[in-house]
Amino acid sequence: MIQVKDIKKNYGQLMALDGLSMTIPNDSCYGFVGPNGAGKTTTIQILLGLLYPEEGTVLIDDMEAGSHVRRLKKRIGYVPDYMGIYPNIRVGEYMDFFASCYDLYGARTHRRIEMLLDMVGMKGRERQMVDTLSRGMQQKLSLARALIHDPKILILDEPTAGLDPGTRYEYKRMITELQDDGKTILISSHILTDISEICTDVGIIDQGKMVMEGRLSDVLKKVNSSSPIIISIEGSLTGAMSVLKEDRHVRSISIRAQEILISYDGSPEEETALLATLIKGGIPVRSFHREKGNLEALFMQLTGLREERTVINYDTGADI
Amino acid sequence: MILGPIYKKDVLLMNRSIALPLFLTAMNAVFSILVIINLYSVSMSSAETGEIPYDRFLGVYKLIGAVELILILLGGPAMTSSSITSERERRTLGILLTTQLTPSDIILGKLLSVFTTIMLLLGSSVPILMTVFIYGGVTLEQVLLLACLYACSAVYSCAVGIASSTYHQSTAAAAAVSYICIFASLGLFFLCWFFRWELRVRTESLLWFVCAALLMMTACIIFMSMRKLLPTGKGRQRKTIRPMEEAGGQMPEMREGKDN
Repeated sequence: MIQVKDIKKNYGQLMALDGLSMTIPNDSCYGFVGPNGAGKTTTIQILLGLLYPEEGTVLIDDMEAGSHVRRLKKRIGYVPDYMGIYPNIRVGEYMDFFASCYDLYGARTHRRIEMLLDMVGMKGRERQMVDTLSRGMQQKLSLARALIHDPKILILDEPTAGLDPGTRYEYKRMITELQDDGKTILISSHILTDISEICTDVGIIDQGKMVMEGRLSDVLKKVNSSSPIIISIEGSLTGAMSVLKEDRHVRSISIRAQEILISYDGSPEEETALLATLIKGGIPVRSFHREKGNLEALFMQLTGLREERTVINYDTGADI
Repeated sequence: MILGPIYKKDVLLMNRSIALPLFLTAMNAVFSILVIINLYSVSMSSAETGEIPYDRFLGVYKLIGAVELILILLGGPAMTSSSITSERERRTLGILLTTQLTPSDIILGKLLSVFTTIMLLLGSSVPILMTVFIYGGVTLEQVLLLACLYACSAVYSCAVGIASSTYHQSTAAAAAVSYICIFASLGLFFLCWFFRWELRVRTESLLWFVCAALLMMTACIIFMSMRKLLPTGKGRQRKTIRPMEEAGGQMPEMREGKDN
């Protein structure tokens, strides 16, 4: 388990992390999301032991980052958002070099290198020069390199950025397999659909603070309950509007084409009662459902961004 | 780990390029031509005068010795001032520091790989330099002193290049600063050289002292480079492991920040 508690880090006047706390459970796949400059890379560098925080504690499997550096480095594999290649080096030599960086030599290590290259679909490419590989291949090689010492924790920084859909799909499949093998994975990414697909936990960071964290399913459940109810009406909306204005749980009303969007804070039973009132009032309701919450909407809500949507104020008819 | 991964990788990549054998050939060709010209000129002179000017044979030894020393002092920083900056530019330094390698493994590995290459260049020119022994006039102490001066200058110039590379973001800036340091050191050396009679110091003793001073400065420079690669931050001195309860214990599964 990785526990980060109230860490602060500043670069001169700029406060990169302002009391950030996060918990990454064992065997989880943790999506770490946030806008540019939110402090993701600084957090990752602190977890990797490349930076120390000014305040706060970082515990990795109950060991504090900064002490027992060698033991911690053995437990962590890191895939940056860039490949980091040497010119004139072959794939096999590249893997051998990083194996030797972990003091791994001999036949067993060579078998592991073969197994890893096979896993990322690069078997038989040992003699190919690394700088002639495509970006997707380089990123896969980077993953194989990070797994050379069989780490318990894997930290991936923007692993699927710039990859084509096919390679992205393969990459996500490999990450899922690694998580099934019992690895704890931290993924920092801007691609929220990828995070929704592969992560079990999520943490959203903004301006150096954690604004929401938890199991992805719980977070999405919470987003769903705060999403607006969409009521689709056949014909005129006037009757429906007067009923909705009467309901004390309706916080706001907006219109999108032939749909009414309401912000509703009542219970599910009260939602049912509202639907029944609309039908009893002879209003032709075509559909009545809560908009499905997604990570992207939540991210934009929490980080102060808003989904672009044309909303018309019903009373004035003017654009808001 | 000193002769470990970084050393092997750097030597492999350096020797894979065509530049090294080309430079090796060119350097030895120039030295050979110098020796041949000298031998020819001495032979012509003795044919005219009937005397063999032995001191002119020693002149070649001094000339090649000085040229090689200058090559070391200029070549060392040229080969090392990109060592850390290029790792930074390729963004491989961060990856290396997340492995089991320590900053000292990286610095010493890089230093030794360039030092080995310089020693290879010098070693290849030994047969040319040895032509002076046909005529004699060079003592064992002088040979040892030259070898020691070469080794100390090589390790010093490489250490200056690496340190500069550690402290600067660009290779050009690192090279410029390392040459300033090298020329400042040379200036200091020549100052001592010109005043050696006033100081009443034997030339050999002065050179042995220079070797010792270069080694001491190298040790300090390497230490500074290693420190520069260590993680930064106020938590640097912290060494204790705090128990989990003290550090905050289990955190709730779902939290929301103040902003939310």
